[in-house]
Amino acid sequence: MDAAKNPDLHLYDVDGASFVAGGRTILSPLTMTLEPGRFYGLVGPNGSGKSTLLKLLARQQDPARGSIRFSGRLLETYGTRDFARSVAYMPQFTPPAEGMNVRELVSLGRFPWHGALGRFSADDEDKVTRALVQTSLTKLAERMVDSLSGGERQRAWLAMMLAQDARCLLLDEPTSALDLAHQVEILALVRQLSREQDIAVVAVLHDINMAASFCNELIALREGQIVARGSPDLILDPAVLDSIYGLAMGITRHPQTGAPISYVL
Amino acid sequence: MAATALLPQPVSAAQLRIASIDWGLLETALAIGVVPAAATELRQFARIAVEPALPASVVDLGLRGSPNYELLRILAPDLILISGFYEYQRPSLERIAPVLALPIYEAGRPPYPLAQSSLLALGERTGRKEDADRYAAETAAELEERRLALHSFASRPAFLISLGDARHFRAFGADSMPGDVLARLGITNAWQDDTSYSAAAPVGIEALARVPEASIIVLAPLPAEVSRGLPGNALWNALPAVREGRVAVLESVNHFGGLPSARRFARLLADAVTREPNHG
Amino acid sequence: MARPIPLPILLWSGLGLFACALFGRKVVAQWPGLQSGQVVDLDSVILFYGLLPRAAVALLAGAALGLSGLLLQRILRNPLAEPSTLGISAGAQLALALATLYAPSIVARSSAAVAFAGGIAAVALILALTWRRGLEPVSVVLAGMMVALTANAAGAALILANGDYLFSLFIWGGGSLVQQGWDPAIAIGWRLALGLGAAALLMRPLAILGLDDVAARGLGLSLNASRLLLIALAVWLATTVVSEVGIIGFVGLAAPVLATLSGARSLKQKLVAAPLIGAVLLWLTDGLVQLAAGAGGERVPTGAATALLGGPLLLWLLPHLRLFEWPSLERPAHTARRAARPWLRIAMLGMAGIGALAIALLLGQGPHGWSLASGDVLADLVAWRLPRVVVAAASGSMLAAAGVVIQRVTANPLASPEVLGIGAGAGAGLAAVLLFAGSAGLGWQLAGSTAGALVALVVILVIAARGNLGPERLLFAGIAMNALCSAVLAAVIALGNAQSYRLLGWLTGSTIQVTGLEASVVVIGLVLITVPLLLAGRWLAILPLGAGRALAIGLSVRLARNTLILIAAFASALAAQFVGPLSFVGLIAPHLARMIGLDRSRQQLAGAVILGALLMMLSDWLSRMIFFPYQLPVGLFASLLGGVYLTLLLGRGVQRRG
Repeated sequence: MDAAKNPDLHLYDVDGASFVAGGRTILSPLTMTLEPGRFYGLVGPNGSGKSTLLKLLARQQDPARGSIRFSGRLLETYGTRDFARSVAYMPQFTPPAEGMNVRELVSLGRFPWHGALGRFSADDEDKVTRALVQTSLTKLAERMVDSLSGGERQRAWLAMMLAQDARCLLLDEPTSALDLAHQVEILALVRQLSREQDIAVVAVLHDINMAASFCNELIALREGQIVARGSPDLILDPAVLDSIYGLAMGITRHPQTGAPISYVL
Repeated sequence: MAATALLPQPVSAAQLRIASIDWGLLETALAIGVVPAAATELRQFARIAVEPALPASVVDLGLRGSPNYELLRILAPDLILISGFYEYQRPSLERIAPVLALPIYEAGRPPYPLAQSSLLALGERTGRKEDADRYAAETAAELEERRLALHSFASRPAFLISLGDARHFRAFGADSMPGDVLARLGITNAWQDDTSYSAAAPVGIEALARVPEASIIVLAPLPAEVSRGLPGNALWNALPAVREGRVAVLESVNHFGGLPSARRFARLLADAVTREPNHG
Repeated sequence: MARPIPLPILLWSGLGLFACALFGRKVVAQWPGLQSGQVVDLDSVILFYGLLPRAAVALLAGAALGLSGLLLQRILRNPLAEPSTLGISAGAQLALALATLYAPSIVARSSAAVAFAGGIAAVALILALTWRRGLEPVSVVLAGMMVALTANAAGAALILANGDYLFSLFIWGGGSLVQQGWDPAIAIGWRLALGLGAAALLMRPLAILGLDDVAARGLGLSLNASRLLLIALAVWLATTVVSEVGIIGFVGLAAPVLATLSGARSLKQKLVAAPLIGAVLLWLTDGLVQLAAGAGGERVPTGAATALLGGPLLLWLLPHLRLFEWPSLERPAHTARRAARPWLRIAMLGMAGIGALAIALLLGQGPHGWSLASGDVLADLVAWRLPRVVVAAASGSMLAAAGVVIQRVTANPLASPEVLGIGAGAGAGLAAVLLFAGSAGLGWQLAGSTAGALVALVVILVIAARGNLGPERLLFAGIAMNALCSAVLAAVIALGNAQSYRLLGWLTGSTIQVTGLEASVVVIGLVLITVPLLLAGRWLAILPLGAGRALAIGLSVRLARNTLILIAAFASALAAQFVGPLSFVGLIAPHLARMIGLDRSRQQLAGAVILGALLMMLSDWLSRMIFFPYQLPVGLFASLLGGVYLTLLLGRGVQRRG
């Protein structure tokens, strides 16, 4: 009711949401808003609650207390397919998708639109083709997913999320299994899509420097609480990093771009 | 069951071609001179039931629980004999020929009277009434004769058992053919507990100690393990019947037989007891 | 955690005292002179040669199984390894049965040697099958289950084919601890002492074997030699128990697990705790069995009773069980090439199916040898052959459909109605119906077996969901469910009445009694099952990606899963009604479909359904023809075919990644 004052202003409106598992508090009640079209990085040490927060946003788990609204509506008021048309979520580990080629995997992204029995329309076909083009997978469309390299496979999953035609992508460590070149490739692709199509992205990222160089804004968690939030310049500060990781770190500047880079002292 | 006997009979009773699913009825038919065209598990029958001898013309239909219906259909008997145990096969069998169900074993009832009435009914149905009457009378007479011969043996109760391994036995009760015959021979069955379909579930040898004065009658076949394990079984050796030599091991008898099995059992028992002076 | 006396020790002492009290009650009842007084010496004989050795055997066999289980679990780094899950007990039992029938003189000389040979053969087979997979736990346990089930099926067939059904079954179904002398106790005792001694000597290698191969080799251990030595020791202990008292389930599994859960952390502690707990468990179970026994004898053999207690225990423990770290199930690196024109391939399969149907109807043996039926004879025979061929084919199809559904819903290529214990659950349901209404018709039997199958599947999936189980634990839960339901069946079969005989027939599967009525019921069932499944093709495509992902693209996972599970349970139960629970067609057919290039959900389903029908028709035909006129159970042949396939699958040398 109170959020009804400006329902469309925020993409997400998290109000006192917390999460408890096995008697242990994973997330302390936290309140925050996220805006459309921006690329957020969730950072913090292991066990800080990053993935849990993402799962709450993705409606994969329900908060113990508090509420979460998406576009002004409480998450629980959305139907399953209804929600999936707006928000696409990628868990940390992607299964091998045995017995499926890339196009078939990407086509699954259209499920929220056509459902279990609906026709796979020309529009659905277009969306799939576009998602393949955007992720440069057109040539690999007929390859089996389990025969792809790690980076290609991650792109295929991303393509599936794009085919979902959602306004918001939630990615849980999308680069964890990839080598450096592929990490850069995936994050650059995500940033580009976010910019071009005005899609909001919330990604859990392990590497703070990588997060800083691609995200618009970083949200840092520690022990289930938000300890810092702001632009990469703001977060990459020795005092802030110490409060996040409990580790003495220094900052230097990228010789060419001048962007801040952290290092362990 | 009476209803099936009244079904139209296309062939004259004397030339009926018969198939028997049940072993007890197979025996009974052979005993009154009816040679079935087909019957089940003949190899095993020759080993376990032993008599009456099987003519080579009888075709083996396979297992009792799953007789070969196709083969039976090709043989096209005029009448199929079953007992209550195979009632579940009736729908299939009736597609081949009229089915005659003659009870011998019913839960909790002594089988001898049932076997006798089944014998007579079969005689009636196959046009061998005289043979059946004669066989029933002969059996009764033979049992009476054996009863007198076993008079002294009958002063003690007896366990009637078969051995599963060196540690377990199964007791035959009054609802089994050997158990019923035992009673008719004037011998008290030492096993007074429940039995279900002829015999009790296997129990340990020590249960034989409950009636120390009892003799023990063991029906073959004996598993291979028994001959190795039993002589060294301390408890077995401590049983009064074993110490005093009151154990008789009989040749195999069909556990689910008809009157021929009853006679065979009585004869084997009388032979064993009169052969060994210890008994009595 | 409590300081003074740890709670687990208190608990186990309490249970031990309880077992002791049960024993004491029997001893007092048997004390010489307390009864009639006449035959004092017979009373003391029963006490000293019956009761006392029985308690000793319970304690020693329990300890031996506990030690054997601990060794196997440690060596194979597999928390579910134990004599019965690895098929060692079943192998020993089958060897004993075979030798009794065909070489009685050997059994008379040394049954322990025969049992050991059987157990070693079983374990050698399992190791050979899974060696190239690095003895990965799920494959090992799966192969073990396969060996055990096939051995049991072969054993059941042997009993069926040899006449004296029920007596042998009682002894087959579960170990009985009845004793009449000290020989078995002594035989188990000295082997246990040797085993404990050897384990103590080999403590260091054993500790290192708990690590992974690379680490163990890095520590300079000759891995395979120590492994094989210890495995032989464990098999020796377990098969001694089998040859002396028969199969005792679950003690070998439960004792080491309970030892760990009771706080035994170091290997030394476990070597003490596992045998002790095994001893208490078996003694207690045996005490309860004797308590429940009436004058007519013990209704449930102790060996089956342990599974009745242990099965639920394991299911309950599973979420708390810590699995050893092991790379998760890997799929073959090269999946079969996808068919270019899948529906053409399916149509060809369909043609093959029709051809097989024709052969099954036409070709057969009669009193005068082989013949192709034609004309009047054909019309005559078709009336007999058609219903059973149709029932076999449709049952195979339904199992295959259930297999596709279960493999996709659980995202587990090794799941199937047979493996998860759904077939055995159907049997337990059927047993319950027959127990309360011996003459129940097809409708009630079907209701019972469907309810049983559904309960089994739901229990497994609820446990899986609660503990957030991966594919491995799901299979473990299924194995526990299988053992539990089989124990229920064994207990009912051991009652030795007409229902037992029916259940025995059901267990091995038979299409012999079916008529046109059953055939039409099954065909209608098949249609009712496959049509919705074909419509649910998208669900089946999405669910293998995992619940989280399925939810993320807007699938109501719960609805989809529940619907599919209901269908799979019904299909399994209906099929098991006719072909028994052990056919393994539900496991194989989906794989075969994939191997011939049908991997999209609807195509795989259609292909598997036809292949399932083909496999079952073949099994049925073989079961009718091989020992003509004796007809063996169709389920037995199907499980033998399944065994061959699984051998090939596991032996194909799939590389583990990482």
